[in-house]
Amino acid sequence: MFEKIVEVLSQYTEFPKENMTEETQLVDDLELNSFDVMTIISDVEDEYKISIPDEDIINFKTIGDIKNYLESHT
Amino acid sequence: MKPYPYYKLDSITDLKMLVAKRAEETPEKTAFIYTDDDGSVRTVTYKAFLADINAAGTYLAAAGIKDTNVALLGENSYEWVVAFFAVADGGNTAVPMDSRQPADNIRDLIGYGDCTAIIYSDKFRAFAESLTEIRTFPLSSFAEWISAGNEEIKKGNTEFTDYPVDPEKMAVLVFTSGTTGKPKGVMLSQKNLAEDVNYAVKNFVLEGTAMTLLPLHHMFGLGMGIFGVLNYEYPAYICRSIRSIAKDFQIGKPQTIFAVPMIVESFYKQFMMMAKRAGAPALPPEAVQQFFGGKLKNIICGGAPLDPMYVEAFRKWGITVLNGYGITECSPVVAVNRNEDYCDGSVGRVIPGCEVKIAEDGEILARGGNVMLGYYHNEEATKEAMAGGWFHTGDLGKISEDGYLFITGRIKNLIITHSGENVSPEEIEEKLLQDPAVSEAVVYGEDNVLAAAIYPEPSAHTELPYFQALADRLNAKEPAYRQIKKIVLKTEPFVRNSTGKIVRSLIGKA
Repeated sequence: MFEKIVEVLSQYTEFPKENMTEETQLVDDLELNSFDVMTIISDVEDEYKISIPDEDIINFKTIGDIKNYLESHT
Repeated sequence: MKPYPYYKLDSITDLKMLVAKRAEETPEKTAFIYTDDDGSVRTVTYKAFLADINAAGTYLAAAGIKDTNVALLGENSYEWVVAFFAVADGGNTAVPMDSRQPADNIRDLIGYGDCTAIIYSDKFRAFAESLTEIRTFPLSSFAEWISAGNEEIKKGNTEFTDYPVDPEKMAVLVFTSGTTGKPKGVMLSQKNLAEDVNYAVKNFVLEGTAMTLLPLHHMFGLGMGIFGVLNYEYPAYICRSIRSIAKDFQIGKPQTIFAVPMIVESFYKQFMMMAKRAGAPALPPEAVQQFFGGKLKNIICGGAPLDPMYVEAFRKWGITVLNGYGITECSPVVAVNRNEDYCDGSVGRVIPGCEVKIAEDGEILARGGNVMLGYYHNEEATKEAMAGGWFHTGDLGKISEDGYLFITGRIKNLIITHSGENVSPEEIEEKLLQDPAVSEAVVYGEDNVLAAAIYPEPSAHTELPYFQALADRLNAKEPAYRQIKKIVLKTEPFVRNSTGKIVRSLIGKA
């Protein structure tokens, strides 16, 4: 699952894929803005065929947050 | 560039006339396109739009919604738009709420705005049902409103359809967040909204589907993305969520989109990444067009300053980014660049009908039919903002010799130095931001000198001495009072408010 998320994220950031960890920060490390994050999550939703409410997305700060969310919701 | 004639469009006096005129002249043309919950694409003609407004307005009037303030809370939807017109064209005041703010804020604003009813989308059901003091109208019952309203009309109820709109009366109450202080309720009349539409749409001609990527509680999204677009015979595509826009582009194939700088920057970033993956220095225009659905000609951008670099980049892709300037209090458009008359870095020329002058201290002042009635229940703030008969925008600017308006900063951000000189921090920040190692910068006054808080570009791996050298280079070109004397490096980006602006009041305190 982690690899799949990293694959999606690497489409949106210059941050090297191999350096991404669960602790990697979406805004600070990957330099994504809130609009980028929304766009990325819609890709993740398509990939996992789920729908994530906006209020949950606000809590995604790290790659690990997305992974944990998907693990408990898919 | 030289000014060229404005496009000829019939003037309107109010929003009721706007819809009625279109429904009469082009009844069968598509007014709106949107996707339903199940993903199916829906279209609504101008005739059907007017019929829905009449039915919904009659339903609300019959339910006793008269001469009152009604909160609107929900994500963008066709039903939201109809509800807005049904409220405002029946002599009530529509109070569009920013649904992304905390529930307690919304509750406070509903109280402050004297709302006696709320129209809400399903997402806010629990919140709306907790409001025991006011009446609640769920948008999920929209179909029932329409059939009940149509029944009333059949029985001869003309209360809404014959209601004579008073153009001078408050029709919309919009709360502005601002980066500091308490929210202000901006009172706009039907005339304010109609005049801004009259002034602004003349600058531009729409030749295909328009799509607004902004929330409709935002006056730019509502005023230009809906009211402005209703002047032409092309559809407005309603994006339900910012997250579905990649799909929406493929369905709606917009010719024009309305956006804020953050979105334009995000697109640019995505295109640069796509090019990199393809091993190309830049993405070909065809690939960019494909992303937008294949027909995009214009991006109309406002709400915050946009780096001219993006305007140039999109021009190479065959897309014109027209940057403009607006403020809720001016309903909202004040100035905009035009397709054949633009100046990069400026916000274009002031729209006809609105007058602008620059005060001695550099503040942009505006006057005209688009300027608000005042702030709700706040005479003091109104008096202050309207001193001398001009609306004080709080923005600093200058008008070039050839007539283009440039925004240089916010007056409340002005730093008054020990020697009494005024420094606009934005002007210095802009210079800092030109360095690739600077990701974000905020200039502020501390102990009578200028300080710069910098969030470095993480990939640049630079340390404090690098930024001190940068400040030295910039300082060499500046008078003493404009020199940066202190640099603070931040380990994380600055806190931003819901519209993406850095919250300056937190700088130096965190």
